[in-house]
Amino acid sequence: MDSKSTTTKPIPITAMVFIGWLFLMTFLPFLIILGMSFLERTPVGTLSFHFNLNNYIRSFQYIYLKVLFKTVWIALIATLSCLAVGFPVAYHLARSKGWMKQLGLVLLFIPFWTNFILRIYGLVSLLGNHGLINQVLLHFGIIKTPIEILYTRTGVYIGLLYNYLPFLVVPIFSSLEKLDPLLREAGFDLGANRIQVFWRIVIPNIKEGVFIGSLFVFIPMLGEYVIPDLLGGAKEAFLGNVMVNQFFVMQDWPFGSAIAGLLSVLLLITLWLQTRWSRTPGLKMEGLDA
Amino acid sequence: MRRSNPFVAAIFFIAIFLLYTPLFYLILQTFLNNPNDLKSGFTLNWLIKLFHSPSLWEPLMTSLEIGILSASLAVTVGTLGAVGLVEFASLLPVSIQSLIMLPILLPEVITGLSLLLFFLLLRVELGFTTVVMAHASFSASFVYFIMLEQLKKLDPQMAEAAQDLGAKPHEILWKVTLPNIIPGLMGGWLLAFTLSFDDFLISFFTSGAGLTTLPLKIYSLMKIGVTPELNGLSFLMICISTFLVLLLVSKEQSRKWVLRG
Amino acid sequence: MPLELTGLTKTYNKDGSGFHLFPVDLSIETGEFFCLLGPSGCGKTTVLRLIGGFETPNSGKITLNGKDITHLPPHKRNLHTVFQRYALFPHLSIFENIAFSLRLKKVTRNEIQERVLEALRLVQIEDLKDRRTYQISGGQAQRVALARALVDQPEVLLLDEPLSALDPELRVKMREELKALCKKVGLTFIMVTHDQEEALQLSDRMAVMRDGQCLQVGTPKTIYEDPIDPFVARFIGQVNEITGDLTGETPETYALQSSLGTFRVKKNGHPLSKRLNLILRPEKMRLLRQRSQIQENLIEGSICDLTYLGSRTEYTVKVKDATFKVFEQELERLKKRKLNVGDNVYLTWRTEDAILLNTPNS
Repeated sequence: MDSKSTTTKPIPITAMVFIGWLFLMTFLPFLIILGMSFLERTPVGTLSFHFNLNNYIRSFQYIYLKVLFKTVWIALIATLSCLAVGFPVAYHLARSKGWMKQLGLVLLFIPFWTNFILRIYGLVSLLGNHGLINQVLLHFGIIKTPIEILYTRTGVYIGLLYNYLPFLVVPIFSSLEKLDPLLREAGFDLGANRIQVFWRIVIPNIKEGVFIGSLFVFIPMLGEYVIPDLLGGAKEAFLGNVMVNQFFVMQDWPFGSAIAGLLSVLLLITLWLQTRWSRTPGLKMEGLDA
Repeated sequence: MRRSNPFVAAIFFIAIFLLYTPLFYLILQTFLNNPNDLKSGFTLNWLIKLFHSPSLWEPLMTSLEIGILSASLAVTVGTLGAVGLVEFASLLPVSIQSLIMLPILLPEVITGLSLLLFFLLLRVELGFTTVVMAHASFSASFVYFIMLEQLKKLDPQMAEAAQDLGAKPHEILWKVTLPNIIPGLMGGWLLAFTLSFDDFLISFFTSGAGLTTLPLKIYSLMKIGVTPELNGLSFLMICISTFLVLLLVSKEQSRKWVLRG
Repeated sequence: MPLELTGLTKTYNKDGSGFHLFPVDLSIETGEFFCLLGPSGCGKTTVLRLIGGFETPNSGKITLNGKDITHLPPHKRNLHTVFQRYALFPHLSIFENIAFSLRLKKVTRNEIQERVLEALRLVQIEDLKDRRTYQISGGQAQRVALARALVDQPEVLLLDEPLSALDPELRVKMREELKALCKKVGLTFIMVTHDQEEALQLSDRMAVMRDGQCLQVGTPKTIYEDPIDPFVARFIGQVNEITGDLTGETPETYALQSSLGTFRVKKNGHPLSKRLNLILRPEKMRLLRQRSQIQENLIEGSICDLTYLGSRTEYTVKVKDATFKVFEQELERLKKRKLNVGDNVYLTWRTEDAILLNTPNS
């Protein structure tokens, strides 16, 4: 323990270990992949250390822009779906009392601590041609041939909704919890009915928290790889899938890295939007006070 | 005034039901003669087979070993960071704050690929060590935040009181500070272990050819489509995860991290 | 009868500890400033919330100007609440906070403008109308809450400990303004408070409550000078108490025998049992430097503590194993010999200043 002598104390060695670790194991690799994006792959497959922007220029071709817009579009629709389902779920949780609230939260999260791949596998066996849904529908004669959900865009949407829902429920829930119940009472007292209280008091006071929460779901969706890979098939590739493909199939590391750079820029823009929109500083994660 | 709209309540219960359906279906499949046919009758064969199949025990052991080592590494590094930065936490420059948030915010696919490039450039052989390092690289930040919170709750005068009562610096650390942050340490370790045990994508990129963790095994079985074995394994994994959640929930410090996933 | 509560009861379990409001009957006049006074947990806030419509009574009736409002939801009652923590809407400006109820009623824009400005003038904060709720002080927030509740002219204004969040100086200032405001707008004000001084200063009439029971209703003067329960006497102002037995009576007085002697007390019409409490206000007791001719209501003791408070001096006098508080006005004290701790003194009081009450069964 250092003595509190001056206001500008040097950062202790213990902290330097941690910061050094982060620098070495996260930042440096990230710099390498960014640096790689300015190199070129020679026709024989080696790297050429000739710095240029060709990879970025190449990524603005129609096929890659299409993937970019598709990624943003699917992530957007999936975020809105999460919002549509997550809002009532959070609202119900915030309105319930005591142990019901605790139990509800725990119930919501238990599935998310089973292995991620396993959850995807669960969805695959649910949605596939021989999956539970098709078996049940065929059994009752509702359909004659299995409906295709797996390896379609619907499959991707279901996968995203399933895997991101709780992460949107939590911020909505905590915004609702932070809302002083007295404000609702004051609204009733001043002559507002339930609907008016909801639209004129509840919504205006939580919209900021809901927006930030949505971004925290939207951002990781943009970088999704496994869900489109396992539930969407080749047609529904995200930016992340195209990137991995460049690395392992095309063996074009520089171009794959440029896509990583593009994805990072996309994330930065979204994060920047978030800092602009919120009154509180950007790189702050809201804790859950439950 | 606290009545919930029945429509809202219905959505809540349907959502919870649907969240559990895939998992319960996996468990159910484990006991079906033909996992893809609900009417094929029940059996314990798949589970029995699972316990005699070394190709599944090996990945499990690998995953456990990687989890234990990477969690220990992450807790060491993360705790050192929290202890050193707790006094500065609110006035850290944005660059350091961003550096700490980077592993949490960066998409796993970029983290995985950049670590792969990094290891390849350093000419490190991919395998057990690289996976442990990679897992500890992203879980250290999570541990840091848990420990930071735990340390903030400590009364700063407690160390001074101990000093006043004649404790030397190392005695303060061992007899005063450490016993008070043990809950956080345990919570942080369990979280880091779970993150490692759960991880697929980063292992996928940094494990090389020879090493197979449990999620990697599941992935490859899924790609081949050998279901009966896979279902037995799923059942086992669901049991392990449930056990871990219960452990984590029982630790107050990590409860909110459980709820963040 | 403007606001009438009849046989109102409410039972609920809060965190495992049950609460029961015994039947409350109150009638509150139009334009009256009425206080509900009592310690925390006495049920005063419950009564206010029942009137406001935030709770439903188990039984009983609430009528406002002859109309039964017992089961109306809050937004359909023509009365507004000023909340303890003000509950201003953080997403709206001060102007919009006050305009809230008018907008719901679809009042025209010009009229809203006019009425909000008038309300702002009434509470003297016209210059704050464009501020946000987090840009104003506690005292200003209080005024906004008042203006918001008054702007659409309710029949009754409910105030839930409105001054408790203010600092002491401002609290005293706001008391005067609240009282003036009540008379100016001519509305019924019902205020909940645990501060007896506040209740004495503000109310036309007040109700003292304890453990879900309404003990006494009356003007501040009645409550202070003629309490009907030792708890009421103790809660409002300070008291000295002597417990004793009724031993005799004359046409005008009772005789009370206690361990400190036998005292005569003027009859006041309350029905009495055998075990009684004699209540004496500290400022109504006199301190004699030496034994006088007075033989009646005299006790001998010694000063064990004194506190000089400027306008008065407070003495603690020990008599056998009991202690008495006596306040002596400075003017009165100057004329006499200075007293010190340890001095022997005599305490006396006028027969009509003593209050005789039944000792409650504990």
